[in-house]
Amino acid sequence: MGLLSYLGKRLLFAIPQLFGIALVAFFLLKLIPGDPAPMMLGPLATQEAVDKLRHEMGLDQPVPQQFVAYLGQLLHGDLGRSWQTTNPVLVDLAQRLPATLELVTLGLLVAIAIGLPFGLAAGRKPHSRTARAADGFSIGAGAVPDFWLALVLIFLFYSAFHWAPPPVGRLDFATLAPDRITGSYALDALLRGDLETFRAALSQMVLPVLTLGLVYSVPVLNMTRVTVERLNESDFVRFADAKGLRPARVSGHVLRNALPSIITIIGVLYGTLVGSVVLVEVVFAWGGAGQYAVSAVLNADINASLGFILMAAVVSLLVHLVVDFITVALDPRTRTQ
Amino acid sequence: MSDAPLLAQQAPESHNSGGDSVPAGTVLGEFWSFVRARPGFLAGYVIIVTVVVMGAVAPILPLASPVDADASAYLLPPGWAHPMGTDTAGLDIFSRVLHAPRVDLLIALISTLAAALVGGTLGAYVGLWDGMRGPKGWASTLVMRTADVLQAFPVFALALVLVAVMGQGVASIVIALGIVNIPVYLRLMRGETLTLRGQAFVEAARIAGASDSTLLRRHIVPNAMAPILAQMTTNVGVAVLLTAGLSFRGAGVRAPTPEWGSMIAMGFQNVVTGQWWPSIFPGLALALTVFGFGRIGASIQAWSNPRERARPTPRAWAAFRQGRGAR
Repeated sequence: MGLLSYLGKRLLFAIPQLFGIALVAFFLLKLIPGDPAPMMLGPLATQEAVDKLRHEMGLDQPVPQQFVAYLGQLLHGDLGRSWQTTNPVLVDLAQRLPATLELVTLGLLVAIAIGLPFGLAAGRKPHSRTARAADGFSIGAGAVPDFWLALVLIFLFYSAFHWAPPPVGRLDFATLAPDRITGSYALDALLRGDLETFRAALSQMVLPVLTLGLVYSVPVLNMTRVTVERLNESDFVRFADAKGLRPARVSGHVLRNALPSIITIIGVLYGTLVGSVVLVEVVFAWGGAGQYAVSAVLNADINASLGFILMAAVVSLLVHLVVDFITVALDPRTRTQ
Repeated sequence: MSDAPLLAQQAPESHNSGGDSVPAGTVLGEFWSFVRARPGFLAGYVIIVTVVVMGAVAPILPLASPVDADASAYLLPPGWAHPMGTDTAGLDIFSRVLHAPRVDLLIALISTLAAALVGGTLGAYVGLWDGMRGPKGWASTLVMRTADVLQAFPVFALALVLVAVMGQGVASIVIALGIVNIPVYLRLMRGETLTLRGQAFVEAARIAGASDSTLLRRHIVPNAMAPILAQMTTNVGVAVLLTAGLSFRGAGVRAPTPEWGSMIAMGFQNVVTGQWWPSIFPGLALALTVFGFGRIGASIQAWSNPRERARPTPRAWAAFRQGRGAR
């Protein structure tokens, strides 16, 4: 019961925050110069046609009224239409979000696979060679822009050695997209038993996932390391070491206790990444939600921009919620609070 | 207790102190000898001084023009005439890489300074007024809620929207990056103030009748400067990355102006076909700069932490283990 009321409270608090985001975003986006009506109709449109469209879209109304109208639509689950794609924004986002999510999810899994063991080893032995290597890695990889690392990887693995497929998007031109189940090509192909397409989709993912994994393993590594170094000085670790437990087992105990903070940082990263893998998406022509949002902002496509910002906020709220639940499940001490 | 405010007042100057020797005995001198003994930190200062000097002297060096294209030099690989090659417009990459800090560092430094100034001031008052009754408490809550909303935006999208609103240009980027970073300093300074305001010396000053602004200026801000400075140096790196990102997407610095991000973007299609030099070199310069600022930030952080500061350097440690004793 406590869990349910906690969940309810959290969702209740999320509403004013989402409202604030919608408010700020709406008025900010309205300030972008450029009128969508003439852009939609093209350069040859007559003034009457433009005026008529402006009236239909409600653009001739004062901005506060437009906001109220937008909120009304929002409550019915309608995010409006994008004038660039002429589709409802919700449809556009539903098409592109899986692409972004599969990239971010796999990228973070790689980041965890690199950062967690590395951070654990470095944290357990702060003056070892591993620790110094971890230092070097986190300082170096932390300074590299992700979109540039993407280009370096493309050059090395595609242009120079042809080990990876060209960066043409989520599938090469010869392969058809599988019928939609989840929206992730690799997952859908696997579910439909189409191994050929599955392999094609997977091979397209290797470089972008590696890029994200390398760059974002740095925060995971640093957080793991700092937490583990702090745990080294706690009584239970000293006792375990002193009674001669195998180092691997002590590390296991340490990891178990370090997990809540590591999961928190992963959650934070996930939330931020969904909104900001834009540039990597652009480099790999991924066609994800970020790429959609950037071209929306640059072309004064207000509904699409707003839809993306709200969606990113909702995803990050959900992720934080999930993270909190995992933390509570992992650490009994937080349950009493 | 006494040396923390001193550090706060003097550390900023140490950024530019470069290779010249500083008289020992002062806090700045101590800081400098701390950095000098640690090559990992020293490298950052060397890199940043080099980048700044390069940007400063680039116009008077005998380089090809960074903005006037030579159409006959289409996409030449690195060689004697063009040490880093040329791009598709026939522009000399080497000259452009050296000129770029003039724009990149300018944007990063001014926007970081502005964000720290605004965010730090707000954060100090918010921290001091946190939990108070009446208008001060309300104002503090209002500012924090606004920061919550601002931080819920995807950073890159927010910066992009702000630039779109203000129109493309260097000033817009500076303002956009400043606004995006304000909440970072707001939170940092608020946290520091919340800790400090409970300490005896601050309470004593308060009882003695110090006003809010005196309290902050004389007692709180000087003691909170070290983390702010460390954050600022890291943030300069982040700002350079964001500027590059904006330019990469065509919303930053306009094309012929040499800027690392837009250079990477201009060469992006060439990388796919195997001509790596137009993108890779500016990216290296960018990464090196971010790395340098990161090291400077780490050195300030280590210095402000007594345990880190007292930790022997690898060389001193080795000397000690060899039985010759530590310095």
